[in-house]
Amino acid sequence: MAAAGPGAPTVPGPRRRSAGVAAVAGGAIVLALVVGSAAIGPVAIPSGTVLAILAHEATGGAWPGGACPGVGSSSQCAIWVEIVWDARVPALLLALVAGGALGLSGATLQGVFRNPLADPYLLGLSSGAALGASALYTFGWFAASRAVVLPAAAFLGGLVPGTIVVLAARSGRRSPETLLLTGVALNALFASILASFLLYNPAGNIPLSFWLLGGLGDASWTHDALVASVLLVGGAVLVGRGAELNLLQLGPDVARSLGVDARALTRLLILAATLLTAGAVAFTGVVGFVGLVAPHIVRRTLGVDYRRVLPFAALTGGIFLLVAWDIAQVVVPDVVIPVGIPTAFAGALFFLYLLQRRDRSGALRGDAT
Amino acid sequence: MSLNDPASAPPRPAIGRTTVVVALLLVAGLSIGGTAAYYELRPAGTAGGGSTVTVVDDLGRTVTTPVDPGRVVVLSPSIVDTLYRLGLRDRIVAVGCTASLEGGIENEYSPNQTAAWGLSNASCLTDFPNLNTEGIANLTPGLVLASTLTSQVAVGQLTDTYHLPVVLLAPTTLEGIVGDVRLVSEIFPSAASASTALEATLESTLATAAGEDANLSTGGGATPGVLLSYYFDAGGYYTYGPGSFGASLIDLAGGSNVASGVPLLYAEMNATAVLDDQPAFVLYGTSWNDPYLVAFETPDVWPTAPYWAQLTGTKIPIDVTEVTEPSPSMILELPHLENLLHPASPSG
Amino acid sequence: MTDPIVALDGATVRYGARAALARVSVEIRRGELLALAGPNGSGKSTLLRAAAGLETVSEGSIRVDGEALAALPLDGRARRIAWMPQDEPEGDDVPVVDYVGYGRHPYRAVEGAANTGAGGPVQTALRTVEMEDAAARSVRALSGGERQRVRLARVLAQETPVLFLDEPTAHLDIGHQLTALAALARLAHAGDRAVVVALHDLNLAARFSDRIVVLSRGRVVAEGRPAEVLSPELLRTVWGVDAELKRDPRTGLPFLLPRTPSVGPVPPREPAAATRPVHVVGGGGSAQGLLTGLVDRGVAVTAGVLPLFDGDTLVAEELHVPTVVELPFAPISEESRTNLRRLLGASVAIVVAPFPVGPSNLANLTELLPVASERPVILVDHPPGAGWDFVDGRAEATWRELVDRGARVVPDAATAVSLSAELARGEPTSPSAPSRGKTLSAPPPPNGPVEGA
Repeated sequence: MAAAGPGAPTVPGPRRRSAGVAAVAGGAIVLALVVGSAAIGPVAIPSGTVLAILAHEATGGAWPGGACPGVGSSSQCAIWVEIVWDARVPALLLALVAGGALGLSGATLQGVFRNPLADPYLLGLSSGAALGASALYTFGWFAASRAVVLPAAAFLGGLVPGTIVVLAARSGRRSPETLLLTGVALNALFASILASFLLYNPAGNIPLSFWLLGGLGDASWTHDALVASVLLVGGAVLVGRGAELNLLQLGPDVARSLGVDARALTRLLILAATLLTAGAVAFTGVVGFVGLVAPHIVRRTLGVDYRRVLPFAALTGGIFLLVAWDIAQVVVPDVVIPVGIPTAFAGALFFLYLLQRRDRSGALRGDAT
Repeated sequence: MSLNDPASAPPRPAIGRTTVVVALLLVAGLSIGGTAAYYELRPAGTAGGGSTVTVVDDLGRTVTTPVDPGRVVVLSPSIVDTLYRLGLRDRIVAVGCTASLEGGIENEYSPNQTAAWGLSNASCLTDFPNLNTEGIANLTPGLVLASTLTSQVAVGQLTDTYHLPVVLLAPTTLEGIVGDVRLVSEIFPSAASASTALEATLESTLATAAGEDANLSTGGGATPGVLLSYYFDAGGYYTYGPGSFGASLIDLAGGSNVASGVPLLYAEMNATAVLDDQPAFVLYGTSWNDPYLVAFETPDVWPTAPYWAQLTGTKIPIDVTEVTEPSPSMILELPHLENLLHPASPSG
Repeated sequence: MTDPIVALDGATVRYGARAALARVSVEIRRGELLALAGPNGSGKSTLLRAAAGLETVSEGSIRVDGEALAALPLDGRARRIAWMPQDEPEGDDVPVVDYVGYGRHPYRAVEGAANTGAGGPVQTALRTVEMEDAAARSVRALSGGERQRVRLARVLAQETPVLFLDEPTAHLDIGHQLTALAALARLAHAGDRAVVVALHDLNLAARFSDRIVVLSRGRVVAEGRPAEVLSPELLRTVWGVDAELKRDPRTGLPFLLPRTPSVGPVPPREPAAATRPVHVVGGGGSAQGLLTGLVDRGVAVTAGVLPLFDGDTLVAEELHVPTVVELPFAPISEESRTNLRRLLGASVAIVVAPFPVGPSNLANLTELLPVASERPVILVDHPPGAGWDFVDGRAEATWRELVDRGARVVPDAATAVSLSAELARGEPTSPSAPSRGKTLSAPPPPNGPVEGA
C-alpha cells in the first residue's frame, strides 16, 4: 500500500474504495448464481426455459411470452415451473440465507474470540443445534409446529455447546487449541447422541446423513422466510457492533477504557452467533466450515475492519454455500450428495492451509497480507 | 480543536438508533413474510380431474389420492411385490433404487426379483443419500408409494412442494402385510378381486402355519433351534430379535429363535453365544453379487464366518430378500421354511 | 491549585487475599505530570488500572471530578480518562490511521466515523509522536518502538483531560523517550491536563514530572517534588539499590547514579581540581574506608607506603590514588621513604588508619614525626583490645609522640574522613606553613549533615 504523505487527509485506501465495488460485485455474483443454480438439478430443463420461468414467476405472471416458450405440453411446463420455482429456487435461496447466517456467525465468533480459527461448526455449535432439532423429531414432541418450535429447539440445543465454549474461553486459556479441542469433543459427543437417537427410534425417520452432513432438500418459501428472519434479527443485533468489535481486538481492558463493555458485548455476540447458527442448522442440518472460510475471504480482500467484515461475511457465506449446493447436485450424476460434503472438503483444505501458515508461537502470520 | 468537556454529554441524534433498527426489521420482516406467503399459498398447479379416495396409511397419515392412478412411483421392493401380485405392475413408472456411479436397479433388486417383476428396463430413481424428488415430479405420477426408509424430509418435499399424494406402507407384523394389501386395494378398486384372493391366500398360509406350530407344541414335538442370519463380522452374527419379521417367521415355521433373548429388533449376536447354543439349523441369507449391499453376504463368503466349521447344525442358504423385505413373498415363504425345519412333517 | 480531577482515597485493590494496592490516597491534578515510581509488583499498574476503572476497589473510593468513578457510565469515563497499558495483544492488520482512530470511539455519537482528516485529532496525535508518515502502514508491520508510539497516539487522540500511561517509554529509543515525555509534559502544562505516567526510569521521572509518587508493596511511601523525594536513602529502602545522588547543574534537578557492587567501571568522580591531597597511611585493609570515603567526597588522595597485594593497595589502585608501594614484608626502602616524604610534603593533611605495625612498616609512623607539627595529622583510633603493635611497644610510643606533637585522635574512619575533607576544602590554594593553632584550633565543624556532591 502506498504510504500516505504527511498531512494526507485519509488513507488512500484501495480497500476503502472497494467496499462499494465489492458490494456491487457481490450482488452481481449472487444474481448470476441464482439464475445459474436454478438450471442445475437431476432433471434437465433447457436453460432458456429456466430463465423464462424465473422471469414469469418473479413478475407474478406479467412476463410476456409465458413461462415455457417453445415447450409444447402445458402439463410438462407446469411440472417444470414447479420444479424450478417451488423446489429449486427455495433451495438456493435457503443456501443464500443459511450460508449468510453461518458466515455472519463465523465472523462474529472470530471477532469475539480474537481467533481466526473460530467457526460455529468447529466449536460444536452446529452439532448442538442439530441435536436439539433432531431430538424434536425423534421424540415426536410438538411435531406439528415446526415453524417456531424447531428453530427454538435448535437454538436451545446450540446454547449447550455455546455455554461450554464460552466457559472454556473465559478460563483464561484462550489458546486456539483449547477452543478447538473443546469443539472436537463436543462434535463427537453430539454425533454419537444423534446416532443413538436413530437406534432408539428408527421409525423416527431422520436420516443421519441429513443431520450430520447437511442438505437443502427441506427448503420451502416458508423455511426461507424463517431463516431470512433469523438472519435479519441477528444482523440487526450486529449492526453497529462492528466498531465495538474492532475495539475488542485490542483486549477487553483497552476496549473498556474506550467505552466498550467487553463482557456484555461478548455475551451478546455469542448469543447472536448461536441464534444465527441454530436458525440455519435447523433447516440445513450440520453444514460445516462456512463460518470459517467466508470471513477469511473477506479479510483478505477488504481488510480487517469488522464494520465491513460482518456484512460481507454474510454475503460471502451465502455465495459459498450456494456454490457448494451446486457442486453437490452435479458431482455425481442424478444424485444429490449432502451439501456438507463439498463445504467440508473445501473448508478442511482451507483449514489445513491456515494451520500451516501459523508461525511457531501459534499466531497466524499476516492474516490479510 | 477544543478540549472535550466531559461534563456535557454528546448531543443525542434526533431519531434513536434502536428505532431505526426496529423499523427496518419490521419492514424487512413484513416483506419477506409477505413474499413467502404469496408464493406458498399460490393454488397448487396440477389438481387433476377425476375422483379421489381418502385413506389412512400405516403411519396414521390421512392421504387423498386419485382413484386407480395410472402412474405410480414405488420406492420399496416389498411394495413392488404387492403391486405385481395384484396385477398392477404396469402402473409402475419408476422404482426407487440406490443409484450409484455403476448401475441402479441391480443395487436394490435381486436378479430373481428383476426377472420376476420385469424390472430390467425399469426407470430407477435414486433414494440415497437424497431422494430424487425432482425426478419423481417430472414423471407426473398420480401416487407415490413408499416405506419408512424414505426420509421425512423427502416425503415433505413430495407432498408440500410437488403436491403429490404419498402413502406410506410400513407393516410391523406379518398380519400387517396383509393389511397393506387391503389398503392398496382401497386405492385400486380395479384390483379388488385379485386383492381378495391374495389376502385369502396369505391369511390361510398364516393360519396353517400357526396351526401346525400349535400342534408341535401341544404334541411335544421338537422345535429346533434356528439361527437366521443375514450378515456377519468378526464379532458375531447379525440376526433378528423378538418382534422382528425374522423372529415371527422362525416362530411360525416351527423353530426356536436362538436370538430370542436379544433385546433389539436387529442385533448382532455374539459368535460364542451362537456356538454355545449350537442351533440345529443355520439359515444364512445370501445376496446376489452386489458390492453395494454390504450388509448381505454372498454364498462364498459365509464359510469364513466365526466358528463356522464348529457349528454342527444344518446350514441352509436362503434368499435374503425373503426374510428382510416385508411383502407377500415373505409370508408365502413360510411353507418353505417349515419344510426346511421339519422335513418330513405334513404340510397344508 | 485546583481541586484534584481524580482522587484516590484509601483505595484498596485485592487480587484474592493479596492487596495489590493498600489504602492508597493520591490526588491527580490538572496541569501537572505525575510520575508513579516503584519496583516491580509495587502496585503502579494496579493503581493506574483502578483509577481507569478497570479494577474494583474493595475499600476506599476513587472519585472523578467529585463523582464516584464506579457511578460513571463507560462512555463518560472514556471521555474523561484515557488509559494505555504496558502491553496489548498482537491484534490484526489494521492501518495505523484507523488504529489511532479507535481513540475517537467515545465521540462516535457526535463525530460519526473517526475524524482522520488533516488537522483532526488523529493526524495531530500522529504528528506528535512523529508517525504521520506511517499512517497507511499496518500496525502489525511496525517495530516495537513504532507500535508503542502509535499506541500513544491513540491515547492522545482520545483527547481526555486525564491520561494514565503505564510505561509509555518502554521499547522507545532515548530520543523518542525524551520526545514523548516532553510532549506529555507539554500536554499537562499547556493543555491543562492531568497526565500520570508509571516509569521505571527515575531520572526521566525526575526530569519531566512535577510530582512523583513512590509505591512499595502496594503502599505510598513517598510523595512530592522529585527534588524532595528522590534520595539515595529512598532508593536503598524501596529498591534496595545503592546510589549516589547528583544534581544536574543546568536544571538543578536531581539524578541518581546507582552503584553497582564494585565489578565494572568505577563511577566517575568529581575531579578534585582545587584541593591539595590528603595523605592516607595504612595497610592490612585498614584504610579502605578512608580511601573510599575521601575519594567519594572528591578529595584528592595519596597513600603510602603500602605493600603490594595488600587490600588497601588494591583499593587505592582501583581509585586511581597515587600510592607508594613496597614489596611485602620488606622494610621500607630509601627510595620509598623519599617518595613518602615528598607526598607528605605535598599534602594538606595526613590521616592514619589503624593498621597493624611491624618492623617493616614502622617507618610509616616514624616518618610522620617531623611533619606532625607542620601538617594536621589525624589518627584513627584502634578498636579496643586489638593488638596492633608488633614492634615491642615502639609503635605505641610513636603514636603517643605524634599526639604530643599535635596529632588528633578520632574514634572512627568516618570522622576522620569528614575532618580531613573539611581541611582539604578549607585550603584550596598553596599552603602556607600551617601552625598548630591555625589548623587545629579552629573548632572542627560539628558532625552535621555531610556536604553533598
